[in-house]
Amino acid sequence: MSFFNTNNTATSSSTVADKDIEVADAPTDSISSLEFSPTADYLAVGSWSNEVRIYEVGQSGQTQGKAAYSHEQPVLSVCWNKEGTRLFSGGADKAGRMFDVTTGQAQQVAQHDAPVKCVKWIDSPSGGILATGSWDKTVKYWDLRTPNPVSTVQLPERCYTMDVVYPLMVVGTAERHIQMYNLANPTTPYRVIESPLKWQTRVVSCFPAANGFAVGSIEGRVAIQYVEEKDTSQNFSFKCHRKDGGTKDSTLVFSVNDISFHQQHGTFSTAGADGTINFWDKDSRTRLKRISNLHVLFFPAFDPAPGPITATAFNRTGSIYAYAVSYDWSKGHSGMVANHPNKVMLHACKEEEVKKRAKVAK
Amino acid sequence: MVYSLKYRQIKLGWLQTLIKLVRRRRRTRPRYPSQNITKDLTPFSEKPLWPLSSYGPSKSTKTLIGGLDESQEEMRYNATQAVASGNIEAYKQYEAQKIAAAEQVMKNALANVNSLYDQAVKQFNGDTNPPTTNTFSNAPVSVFGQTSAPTAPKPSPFGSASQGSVFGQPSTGAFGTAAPSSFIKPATAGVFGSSTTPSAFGSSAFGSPSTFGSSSFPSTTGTSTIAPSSPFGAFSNAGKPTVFGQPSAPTPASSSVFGSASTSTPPTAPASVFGSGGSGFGNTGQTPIQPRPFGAPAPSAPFGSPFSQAQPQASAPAQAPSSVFGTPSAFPSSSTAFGQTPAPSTSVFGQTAPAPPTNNVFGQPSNTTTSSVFGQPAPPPQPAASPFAPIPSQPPPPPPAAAAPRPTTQFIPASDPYIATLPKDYLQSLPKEVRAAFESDSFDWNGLRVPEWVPPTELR
Repeated sequence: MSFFNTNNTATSSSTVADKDIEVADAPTDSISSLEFSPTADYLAVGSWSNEVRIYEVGQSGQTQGKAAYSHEQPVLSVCWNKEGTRLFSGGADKAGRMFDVTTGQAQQVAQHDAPVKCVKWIDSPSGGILATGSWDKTVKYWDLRTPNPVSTVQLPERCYTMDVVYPLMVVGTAERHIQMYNLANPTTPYRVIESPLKWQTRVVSCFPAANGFAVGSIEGRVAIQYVEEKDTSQNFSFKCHRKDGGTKDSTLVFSVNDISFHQQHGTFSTAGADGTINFWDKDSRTRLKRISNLHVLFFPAFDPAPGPITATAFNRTGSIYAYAVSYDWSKGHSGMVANHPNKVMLHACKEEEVKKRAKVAK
Repeated sequence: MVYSLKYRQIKLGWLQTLIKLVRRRRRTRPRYPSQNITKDLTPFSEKPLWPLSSYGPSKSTKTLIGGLDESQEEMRYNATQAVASGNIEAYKQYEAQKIAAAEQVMKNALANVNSLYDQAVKQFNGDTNPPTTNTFSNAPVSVFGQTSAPTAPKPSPFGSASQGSVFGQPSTGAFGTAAPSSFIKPATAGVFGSSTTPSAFGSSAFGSPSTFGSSSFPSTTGTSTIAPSSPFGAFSNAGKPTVFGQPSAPTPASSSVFGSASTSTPPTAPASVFGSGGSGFGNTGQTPIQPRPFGAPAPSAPFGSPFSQAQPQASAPAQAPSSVFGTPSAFPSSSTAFGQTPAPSTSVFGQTAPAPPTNNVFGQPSNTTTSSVFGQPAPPPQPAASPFAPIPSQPPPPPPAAAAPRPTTQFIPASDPYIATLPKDYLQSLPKEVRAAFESDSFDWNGLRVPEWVPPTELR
């Protein structure tokens, strides 16, 4: 079942990764999350080094560290508020923290019983709310004025991933549960399904139009899912981030680690444990671009192993694409080697990479 | 000519639709064949590289093999904890055992695909009971209403014997209980150890009623109907050594290291987990209850539904955030204080050349090298102990240039990630002529005697 015409000769594939710019002074341990400010080219980076770092990205791609603060344990998620004045982060220390860029102060604003895996800012008409999803199987909503959540939502399982595009919120949990919420009624799921994919959910990401979302799993597959049942016929899934295993009929099936939507065009990227990034157009069902981070093409003996891509983010205008190359624990403890790449790269987006393709007339 | 062909096709298509409507036969088997399950569970076919995952055989179907989910971040978190308490070895053991257990489950499943498929069919039929849906792939919402409604008021599905009566049907499936949506209890039941069901089961109140309280699974409800030869009977053994979570089995690491890991919820919590969880979801058909704000009439925009906002204005003019970064940062790790605000840049990288199509859009070459060294949180691993060794009978994928003779290239072990996947006595276990081929200076291309085996490490 190949819904995506990956044989399309118009698709370009390249090691354009060589021309991307590396962020200066990257965190000292694997990167868990990236997010650009919605109002400026500031990039927040959360890391397993317990730190959140903020970088300013300049016009020609140069970066400068601007600020940093720490959790007590690894940081798993970062997000900005709508005005770009505050940065939120969730960590393995079971806390959600807020960093105020105007004062340079960080404080704890959320608490869970287990690591906070996802933080998302909800910009609702009645005010801003911070949503935190945790491995304690809850999503909590915080208004930042009180130390207690305004509301707690029970999940069937540990929260693995979450995304918000108002009024849609989608939560992916362990055991393949997916919950969709209408944030006008945020405490009860609007619709609940089992994952359209067969294996563990890794990432969900909402369409900018908020009528559906993409799901990525550990099985090298992405599903495009619409929220409304009436749109079910438009749902589909496709394989990606798989590599030939080398022997006959063997395939290496990598995880899809992150999916990011381009706000203007509605196209999206997928990034995998195989070290590649693909740009896709879900409406014409084509792949727009493939970026390979594989430096091992010609000099296998000398180059370092390819690095998994752990997180990706577009900036607010969709002109810059940031991606983190670091260890994602996809091989467990044995993959944690000393010379593993650990960097954040910035890619200047070209039109053909992120703009929709016209549908092929039938 | 072509036109008439098309016409005929359309006509037939119409006929087929008519026949389908007339027959109105409900699908009784899922659309996928059991061979799909085989493929899914076969390593290096469709089985993902990450081993700790539950499995469902098709889109939006119930989990068929459950309770195995551990995310990469959770495992890493466990490792971090172990390092912090100075006992990384405990984590390595934990990881190895978890993976071995999961792979054992999958192996068993693979060896018994037919039973597994039968179970999937049963689940499938259970799913299509609710009248509100009639297509398999659309089942979700009311499915949960069906099966979880009875369980919702029961806050604790942990092994309570009365669970069996909820479903009421005689158990004939390989999995013992009658739950229409039961799934295989992995052998890792022991790993979770405690007498209560592991959280993975218990918490999924949605149609996985988890009647497999681990205490009841091996014994009472319905296992009597399992043929003794059923492979899943093997799961009931208590002999599998349990590593974690079981209070009676002291582990080298303090149990608190993994106590906070999400694999096992404290047994005391279940009531609260389900008390509120059930209420929200216990009714059939979420959607009728909701006022359906999403159902509002949609504009005719391509994205249709009311979810669609007006064309996303992502390029909203970026006002110079002059007030955003006001005062200098006090954090020691940042190299500079907040400087000036960045100029609002609508064209970000346009300064050097006007849209150079292929080359560096970024003006300057990249910045300074990072001074930070990538610290390793744990001692370097020993490749031989890699828990990711695949089942030995499957030849692991060879490194990219395996077949090419490279007499002059240096072989650097560290660069090959697959070395660890070779069995230890690989060199000895090669067939003689294969080994001879590797040991000779070059492969005999003419005779096509290039071995299809992974070159042993020693001979590269």
